[in-house]
Amino acid sequence: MYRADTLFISFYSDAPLEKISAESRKGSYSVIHFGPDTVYVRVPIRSFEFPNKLMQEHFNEDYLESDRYPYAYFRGKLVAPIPLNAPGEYAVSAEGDLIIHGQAQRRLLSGVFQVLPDGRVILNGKFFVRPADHRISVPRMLWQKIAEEVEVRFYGQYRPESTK
Amino acid sequence: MRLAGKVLILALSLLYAQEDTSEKTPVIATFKGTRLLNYHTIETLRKKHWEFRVAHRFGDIGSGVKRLWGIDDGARVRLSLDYALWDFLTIGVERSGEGPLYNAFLKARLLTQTAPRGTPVSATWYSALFYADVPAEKWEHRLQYLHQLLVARKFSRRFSAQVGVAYLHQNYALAPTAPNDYFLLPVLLRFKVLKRLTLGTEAALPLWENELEEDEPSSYLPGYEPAIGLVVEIETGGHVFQIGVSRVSGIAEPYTLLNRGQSWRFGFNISRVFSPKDPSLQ
Repeated sequence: MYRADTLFISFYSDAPLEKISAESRKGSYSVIHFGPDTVYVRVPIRSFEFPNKLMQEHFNEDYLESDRYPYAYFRGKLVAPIPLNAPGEYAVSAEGDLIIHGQAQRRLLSGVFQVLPDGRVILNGKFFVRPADHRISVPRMLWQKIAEEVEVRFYGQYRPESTK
Repeated sequence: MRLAGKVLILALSLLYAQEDTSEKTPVIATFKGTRLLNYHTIETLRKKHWEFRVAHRFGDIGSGVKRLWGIDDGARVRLSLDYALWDFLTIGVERSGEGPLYNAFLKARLLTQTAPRGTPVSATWYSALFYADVPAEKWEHRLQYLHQLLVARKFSRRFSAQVGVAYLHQNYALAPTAPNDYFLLPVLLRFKVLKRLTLGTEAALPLWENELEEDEPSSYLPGYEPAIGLVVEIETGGHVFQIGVSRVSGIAEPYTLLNRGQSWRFGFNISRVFSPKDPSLQ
């Protein structure tokens, strides 16, 4: 089992009238089991920090409703196995459920695994989320301020951990 | 040795369990803004954020359709600029049309409610100094002070309530029989009806008997009626609009806490919060 000791998630919404970005640098939990090749990620919505704190409040109150849905999850399975004993870079994909705002979407997410000689595994990549797919309603008045597709980037550093 | 190690691990895990912050998440958005219609809420700005507000209070609604329910009678205007030095301390300057009346205030966050456990309420201290630019016999007659302790709780995602104690000191009493010092109880309620629309109501209840008494000559403010207000708040992503009606005699706190007369007035506030790295400022 590999557990992430560092996991950064950021997103970027590029709409005509406003560019919004936010970053989560702590509080996330993720494990990868490299036999069955399962991936689990849990990100607290409240951990996203915005430069504008009012926007952060609206994000939690009116869009992600973090009091009802405090976490975003990804539960999936790697499409192909990773040769952990051979350091190097490997393109990977994982198929599974992306759950945001309590709404699950079947997704195929891609990234890059870097297997380091010291046994650590670095994972990074990006994908797009459509707020509408997760029933995150954007009032018509704000269409010009919030992108139809939000770019999400992730970076995780995993270390082997003995299963109890 | 092995036992000592186990005890240490147990102790560390207990310590960790106590510091588990997921049980004590700070509650946000108890109120939509730093003010409801006329009164301050417990909300303070986040560090290095600015807020600019424009507020209007129109004339007597009772003037009817001929004066467009007071809107033709012109408006008291108030401009406010707030700035947060830290998350727990906001300072502000304001100018309103009564006199004109200038004031500076500070708001210090004392407590922040946490959920689902921990601190049950949020609390904020407010202090302000008012200076009325009006003719006066003595310079200090133009000064007024206001101190408030505000305590609020967000009971659910839809309902928040706030009570406070306000102490207002006026160096120059409003009438020969009027006191220089007033204690009031501002009460604010907020109902979130839709995601971006809330209803609010507020009142400033008197903590003194407003009667002419012989043994206490200065306890009667002629024409005093407890102030009361109703407000609709609409958030449009960046701006917050607050539109309401209230029974107040002006726009600044000395006139909204201490209402004299029966007039109800239309009014609105527009507020915008700016952050230090706000792209719209660059």
